[in-house]
Amino acid sequence: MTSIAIVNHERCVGCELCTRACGVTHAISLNLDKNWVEISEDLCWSCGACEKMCPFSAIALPFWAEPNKELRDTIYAQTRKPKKARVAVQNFEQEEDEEDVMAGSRSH
Amino acid sequence: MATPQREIPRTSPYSKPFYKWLDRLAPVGLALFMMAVFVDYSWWMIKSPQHLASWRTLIFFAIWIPTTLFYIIMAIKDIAQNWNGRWEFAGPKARNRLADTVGAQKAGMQQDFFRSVTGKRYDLTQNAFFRWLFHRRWYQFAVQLPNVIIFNIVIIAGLVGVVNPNRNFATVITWYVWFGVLFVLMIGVGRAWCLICPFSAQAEWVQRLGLFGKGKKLLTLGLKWPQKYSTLLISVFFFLGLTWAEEFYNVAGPGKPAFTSMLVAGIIMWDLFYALTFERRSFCHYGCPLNGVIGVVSAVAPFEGFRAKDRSLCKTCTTKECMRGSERSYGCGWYEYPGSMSSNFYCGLTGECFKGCPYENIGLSVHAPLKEAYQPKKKRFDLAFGVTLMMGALFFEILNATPQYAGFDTWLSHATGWNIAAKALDGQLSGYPMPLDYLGIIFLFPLLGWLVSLGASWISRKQIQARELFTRYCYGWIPLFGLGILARQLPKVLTNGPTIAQVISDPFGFGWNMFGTAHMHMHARAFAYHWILFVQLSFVLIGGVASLFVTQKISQLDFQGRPGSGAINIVMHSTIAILMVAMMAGYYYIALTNPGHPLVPPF
Repeated sequence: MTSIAIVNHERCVGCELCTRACGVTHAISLNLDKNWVEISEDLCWSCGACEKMCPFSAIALPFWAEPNKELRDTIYAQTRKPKKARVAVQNFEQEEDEEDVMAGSRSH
Repeated sequence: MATPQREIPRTSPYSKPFYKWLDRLAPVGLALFMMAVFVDYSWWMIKSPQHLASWRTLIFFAIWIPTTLFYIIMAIKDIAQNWNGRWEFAGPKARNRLADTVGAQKAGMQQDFFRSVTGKRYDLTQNAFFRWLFHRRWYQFAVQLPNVIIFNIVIIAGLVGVVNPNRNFATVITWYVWFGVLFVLMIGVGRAWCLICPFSAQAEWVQRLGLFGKGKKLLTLGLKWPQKYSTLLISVFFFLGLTWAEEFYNVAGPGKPAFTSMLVAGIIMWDLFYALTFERRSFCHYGCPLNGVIGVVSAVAPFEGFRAKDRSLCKTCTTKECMRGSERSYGCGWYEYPGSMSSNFYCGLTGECFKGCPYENIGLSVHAPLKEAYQPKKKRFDLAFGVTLMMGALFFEILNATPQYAGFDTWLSHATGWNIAAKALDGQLSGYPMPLDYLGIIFLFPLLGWLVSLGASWISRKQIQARELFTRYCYGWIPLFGLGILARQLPKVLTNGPTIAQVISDPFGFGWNMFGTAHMHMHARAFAYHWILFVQLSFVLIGGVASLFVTQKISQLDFQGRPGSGAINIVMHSTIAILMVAMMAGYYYIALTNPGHPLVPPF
């Protein structure tokens, strides 16, 4: 039984937020004629990132599938800022500065 | 979306003192109105001959006090937060540069899906007043509140008021006024009823813990609605069930006002259960018995709903506040994305997307009616099937007024023993309507649509699937159904509607005279009696012609150049014409068999 994410065609509005979430394997693509997303069975690693991203719950892993959390964290690490920088809003700017300095992206 | 847009001002109108104070005082005025209604009704209740300790007075105050207290507490919280412009829109963000390149390219690739239809349209949000109004958080609340008050009085009136339905606020408002206004709103504006719906309003206020403010926490389990039950047919079946129950218990017959009261209270509790269990407006999508009817008939309306003005900008938007919400707005409760909307079926006109869009890229256009019925490229099978089922329910409503049906239904009830079960269920003595013939009549119409589609598929030498023909052409039935069902409500609404003058002054039949109209001589079934048939026939004729027009457009847009399209077009037009003639004949026959009608033949 396949364990890749399933798209609810009634609910999917083709906003492509899930295609952005699936930024590493690029398993999701928009069907231009139907305006709903489709998932490539070969490319989907069932990480569940799309499910988390979809605001309308139109895409979800089947209930028997365990999300590949390790892969999801790897994807987050590559596509998003480290979690630490998003935790405390009041220290957001200060922490961002520190990270930038650590990463050497800003010259002082 | 090629309409040239005027330049939107970069600053918020809130900075002007007039707008600022209007924004502050409008919710205060609504809260005072709510208090005034509360005090007025309480005063009349205390003053009436009823003893204060009577069960009627106790029920009145048991419902009246807690609900009003809840509204007042929530209103105070939201007014306090609104006072300093907490949810104010500061002005649109700069347009994303990629919109003209990447966004335009992406939108261009879907040109066929978002096919543009020629014709003029006027975007209401070009007008500064509407733009200001739709940005207000209390915009929806302002239209919901009067309705909520009215339907709370309906619940109370049904429980404590007099049994005579024509002197009871519950029956008169719900079945003589609301059921007519509902269809006029659908045909005129679309989901305007959903905007002001008192059932979902109260459930949503509890879910959001506020009347109009934007809070951070929701009082709901937030479960996702199961994928396999995500279909419009659920609400259509609820509608069929409700129609059956309404006939069986003679709720709108007019029957006992207490049934109306229980029906309204039941819908509110049911909605509340959905709101506390599932996310967003799952009830409106998958639980409301009227969702299917309203969504479908909305396609006749000239309003296209809140929709993106420039799709290429949406293609480059990464934040999607319209769907996900922002600091000043909730995400769309109706699971709609304005950037890809192609029909108004599911736009509840709540305006959350308008408030949320940081680019001010949402518009609300008015265009020629019927466009929403043929325009969408993505037509859905469940919706088409639902239209045919509801058409069946409408024909049942016409047939059930004939003596032949009454005889047949009674015979079937006795033959199957249903009348004994009906007695046990405390329904009508004859067991009317017998579920088998009720469902049999209804399912005849999907069967008719499917057989016609099979024939049309055969004409195309199986080049076009019957399912596709059924799905697309059944959208052509929508205007006939919309105008036909409005025509069905007319006798009750027009002949009995004026009794509202009496019950508005004396809602419970206790002898009150709140507005001085309690003693006006407005009797039920005394108005518009002779000419009602001609209005009905005109409506059906207009609906039929509109359906023929939509069918013609569907043929042009969806099937032009495909094998057998000309002959299929004729078949589909003929089906609509037959349905229209059958409906007109039905209404005429009902009038003929109605004793006392001037068109009754002299025998």
